[in-house]
Amino acid sequence: MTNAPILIIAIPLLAAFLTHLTKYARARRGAELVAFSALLASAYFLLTTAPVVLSDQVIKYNLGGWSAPFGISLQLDGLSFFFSAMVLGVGLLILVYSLGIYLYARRYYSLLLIAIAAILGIVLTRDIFNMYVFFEMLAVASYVLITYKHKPRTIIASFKYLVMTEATWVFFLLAIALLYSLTGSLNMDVIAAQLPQIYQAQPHMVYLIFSIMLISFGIKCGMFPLHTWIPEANSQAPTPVSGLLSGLILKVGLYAMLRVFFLFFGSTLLAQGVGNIIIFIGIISLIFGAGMALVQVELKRLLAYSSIGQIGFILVGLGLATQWGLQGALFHIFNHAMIKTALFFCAGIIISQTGFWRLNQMKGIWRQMPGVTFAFCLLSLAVIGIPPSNGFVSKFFIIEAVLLKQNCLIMFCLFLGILLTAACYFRVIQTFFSPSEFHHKQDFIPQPVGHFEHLATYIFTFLCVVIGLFPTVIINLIQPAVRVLLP
Amino acid sequence: MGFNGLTVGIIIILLGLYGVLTRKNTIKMVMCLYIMSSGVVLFFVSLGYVTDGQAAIFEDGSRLMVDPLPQAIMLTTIVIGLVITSLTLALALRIYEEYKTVDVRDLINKQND
Amino acid sequence: MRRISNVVRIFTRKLFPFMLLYGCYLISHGHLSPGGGFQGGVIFGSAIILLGLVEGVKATEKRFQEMLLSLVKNIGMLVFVLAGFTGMFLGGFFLSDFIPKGEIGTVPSAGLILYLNLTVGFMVGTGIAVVFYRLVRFGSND
Repeated sequence: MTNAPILIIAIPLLAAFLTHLTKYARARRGAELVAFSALLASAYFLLTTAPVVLSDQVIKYNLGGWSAPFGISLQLDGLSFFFSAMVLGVGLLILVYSLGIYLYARRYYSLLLIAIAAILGIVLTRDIFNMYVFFEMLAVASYVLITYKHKPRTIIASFKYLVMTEATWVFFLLAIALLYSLTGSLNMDVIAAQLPQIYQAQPHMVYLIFSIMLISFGIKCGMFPLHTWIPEANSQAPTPVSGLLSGLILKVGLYAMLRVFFLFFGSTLLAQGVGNIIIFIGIISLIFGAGMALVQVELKRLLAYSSIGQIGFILVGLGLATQWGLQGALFHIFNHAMIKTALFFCAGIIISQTGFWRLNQMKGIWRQMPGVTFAFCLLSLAVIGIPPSNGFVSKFFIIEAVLLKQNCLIMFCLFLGILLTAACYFRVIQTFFSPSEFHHKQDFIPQPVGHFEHLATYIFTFLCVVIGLFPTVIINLIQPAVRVLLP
Repeated sequence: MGFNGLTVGIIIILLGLYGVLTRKNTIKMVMCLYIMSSGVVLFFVSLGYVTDGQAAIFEDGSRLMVDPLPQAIMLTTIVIGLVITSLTLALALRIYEEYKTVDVRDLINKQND
Repeated sequence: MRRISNVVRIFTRKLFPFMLLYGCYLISHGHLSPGGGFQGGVIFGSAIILLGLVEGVKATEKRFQEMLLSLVKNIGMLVFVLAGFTGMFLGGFFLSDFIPKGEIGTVPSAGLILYLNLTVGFMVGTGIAVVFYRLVRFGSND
């Protein structure tokens, strides 16, 4: 019996509390050191479980020694391993980015570690109320992180995000209550074993629980009617927090959707074609997100709306529920986490160097910052899906899945979405490379952008190109995850 | 159907939701969020009720007890409600400090600056 | 703001230690009667808030300093996670019960739960008091 599952969650949590005590240690960069070593230790424990998990076995762990129906149990299988690896990788690079800017205090690192520990907890747990508690922990950490710099607009953004999400998640607790009254347990495996019988007896309860969960996870992942908190929260937050929000928090909502829908409703509802609703919502999100991104004036809001569009693309792959569809969806989750975080980092470097937020003030910036602009171009190619980038491979999988379904309408809408995304990002590249002179802002002192920010951005860009050229490494990571979802 | 804890809990949740949607004062929105949370607590605890059951504390002799699991879960939920309420109040106070208003309609205009 | 009347002030000051004692009683008897870590902690924090309302926040903050309460809160969080790790090192799972149990019906009969209740109780109590101090400071010249 290995202790790895709880160590992956508990070490960042312990480090989050330890960073408060580095005040007394008089080390110059104590909090950053503690945070970095905690994430590296967590990644090490994750890697020790890799041989067992990737050969389609699971590692179960009961907290406190109480066995499965009575206590909370953690389970590390292919899907959890994939998401944990993604979270720890992107989290480490977000930490590298925030190392550069010297004005982040201990409080910031503590909250970042709590957020990452909460995401790891969501991904590893097998108890549905435990998942709710970790989601709320992640949400509280993100509300405070968004308002880290006390600008007025950040506080309105955080308030709006808070009220919307909490009012919706009260209903998720109601769905847990209904599940408990129907099945008598909170363990996901026990519930999943009893749901087919309940579906025969009372189908309307299962429909109710499904719709509540769709809306609750939808507001976390940014489905179309529930996306309105994303533009402000992503654009007003400090840059590494924008990366955390767009790269990791939106994806963990998708993880919860994957886990809950395929485990609980796999044989009952999804077989009957409820996935078509998810495909429909995905297509509307894609076209809406890409279309709204086309008309944005601020750079960060443009990236936030483009996030909504890409999540729509992933939802199409999720709703198809075939092997190619899920492979494409999981691969695009991985790619988009890397690409969008890197795009937010590029935007952050540009904003902190020039002080401009609007796109039309950034004309001709390629002469001042050639490296960052070049990285932005490569990442834009990845988002649109042009070879040789990783975005091409994942979008190709999803389009292949739609081809196998032989549905012309979905194919047309997917290509329309890709076209709108291309138009949006080409407009940005055209602004960056425009031949007119770049006018500096009057009386603006650029913040010192050191090596760490550039390092994080270039590492992401390099990984995007490498994964695009050699995707088999990641595909071998995704296959066990898909086998968990579709046995 | 009966006027038991389940029905009253749902009514309280819906009243709280009506308040969050329609009230323009940020402090009233905070209060209605907490009312929604209390409604869920009432609903869930009433689910665990066993007719003629005693409190779920083990003393000598076996008796009929109510289900203790909803009560343990609702403790955690009340803690989460406390944290969210205090955080929202802090944000509402800071909004008042910056903009000198608690009306949400003014904030919508200021957001587009 | 008008001054609180003398009756309320004197009565609250006399009752204050009994409120703290009641909070500690609830925390430590969590496994024998309704109560527990969070409930007792809230009573503990509410006692400090009540004293702050009656005496003025500045005077209360001189006696119950925010630095000390913050320290108790942070150490409480560490103790909780370290108790889990101790359970793990002594050969069980995380947060396993490794403390010998007494007879049913007395206070030390709960094993690890008693210590976790104490930790959580003090954490919650001091946390609520710190939140109160910070929220009250908003309106004033900060």
